[in-house]
Amino acid sequence: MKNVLIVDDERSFLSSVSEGLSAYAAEFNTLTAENGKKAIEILNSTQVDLVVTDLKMPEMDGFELLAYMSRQFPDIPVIVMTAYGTPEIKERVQSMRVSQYLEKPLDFKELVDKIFLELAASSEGYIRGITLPTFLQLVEMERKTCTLKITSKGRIGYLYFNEGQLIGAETETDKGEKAAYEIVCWEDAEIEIESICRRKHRNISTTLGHIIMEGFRLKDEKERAVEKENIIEVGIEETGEVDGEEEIILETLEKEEKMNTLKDILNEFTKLQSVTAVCLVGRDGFLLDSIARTGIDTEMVGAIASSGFGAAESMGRQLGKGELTMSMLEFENGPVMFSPVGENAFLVIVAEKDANLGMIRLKLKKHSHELAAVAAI
Amino acid sequence: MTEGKILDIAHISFLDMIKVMITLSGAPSAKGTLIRNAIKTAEKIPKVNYNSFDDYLTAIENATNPIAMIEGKSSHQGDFVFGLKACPFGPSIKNYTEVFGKLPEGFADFTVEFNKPSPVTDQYRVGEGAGVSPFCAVHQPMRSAFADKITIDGKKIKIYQLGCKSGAGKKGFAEKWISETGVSKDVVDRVLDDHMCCYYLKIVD
Repeated sequence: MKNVLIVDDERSFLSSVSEGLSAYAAEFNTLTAENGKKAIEILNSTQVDLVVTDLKMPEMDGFELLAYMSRQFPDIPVIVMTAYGTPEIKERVQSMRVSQYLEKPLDFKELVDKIFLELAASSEGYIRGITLPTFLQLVEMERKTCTLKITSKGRIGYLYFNEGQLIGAETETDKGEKAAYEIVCWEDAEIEIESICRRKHRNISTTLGHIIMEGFRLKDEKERAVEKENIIEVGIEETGEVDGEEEIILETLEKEEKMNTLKDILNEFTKLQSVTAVCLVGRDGFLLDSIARTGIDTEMVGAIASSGFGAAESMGRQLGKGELTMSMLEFENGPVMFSPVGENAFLVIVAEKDANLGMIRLKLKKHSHELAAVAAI
Repeated sequence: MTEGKILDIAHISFLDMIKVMITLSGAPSAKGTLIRNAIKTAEKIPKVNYNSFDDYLTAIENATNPIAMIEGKSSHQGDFVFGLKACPFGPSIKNYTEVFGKLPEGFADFTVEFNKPSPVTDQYRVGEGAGVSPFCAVHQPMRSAFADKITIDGKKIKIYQLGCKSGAGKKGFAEKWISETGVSKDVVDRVLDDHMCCYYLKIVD
């Protein structure tokens, strides 16, 4: 039997949720904790399969609990309950790569749906623990003041937040934005949180969102450069040529690299929860490449999307709205998003209704230049 | 009493429909729709094999060759270069311009779009300068797609569009396909002096 741990400081909320979830006692047990400290006691004594936690709690808050889980229980999926407050915060929350969010006050049916979804996902072997970028965005959103010690693969870094603003960063070798770009991309990060900001002066002047986006872009760039060097070395070794053939090898490799890059980028989208198809389509509606779940006719998606996209562009021009930057159609079973990539193509993303639209937008921004370059060849 | 002018409404509607497509969803999308439609039409025809190139030519002469059935009889100019005397859309254009004076607006932009390099025009070896009107976006890919259904002595054939001439006499040349086939541009130019359309047939070994 699976165990679901609900963490919230409101006793009445805990008891009403507990009571409601007892209807699913045949599917999972419901455990409750009034704060992070009690939650940790339960985590250390019982096999927990899912944690649903509030962020603001006495004794030990949700952040400390999440930080602890990042070190001790990184594979346990987490659902964060938070009050959005404003549409801006809601959008920001939806752009994060956390398993699930629930808006307070809770919609009980939604809670049950998400619990079942997460339990099913974890049964299928998906690791759904909280990621470092998500954690950082939660810190920003909740305007928390803290110092984070991040440990990953033997490296240590510090991030300093003052009322939710990232004001400083440092690693053993770098300081400021350079350090922050690196830290935010660290994998398997273990987080320690201290509720004071141990830095007085800023050495970061940009936003956390930009740091995360730029950090991942730089990381991708670095990885691809290393990969390319390795391929070239192997290619030259295999042919034994260094002069005349070198150019041809490079040319072929570059073309292959571009196509591989395209697949990699498309894969980035399909890795997102609820994205069922991603198609790079020429402006004429012919498919350049795609990744889709079986049963989706991507050729047809491309053809139809071309008309829709073209129509949206025409409307924008007729109304004097300038060039189209993004278009989204919302259907009963989820959205379809279109985004131009350069002059020759556009990207179509088909998703299910619980898709994280903010994350899709983030990926679109991140990869639009690369996609445009590939579409132009 | 005269009967006056009787229009072919299909011609008029088709030309205006192209304009509507361009206005509503842009020239690139309209280009894709027309090409896709041409390819779909080709899917409907059965495969056919000719025992020899001569048999292929005879079938054109008899108008039993699928390509001849859509565009009329082309003539072999030697070295697998063909010339087509009349544009299959000639009657539509004539019909339309007789009534409205000129072709619908937006056709020039569409033609520029069709001539731009793209995966689909590469696949069917069309455009690249050989388009002189939106009708080329229907005619040229349709011919190439029909050719995909034809074999000569069991071997596949490929059509390369080398050039085309507008009703006003302006010639368009597909430098890319001229270069790839090795046909001299002078030859294409000469063929276009007496024909509206010039293409090359390659038998694939």
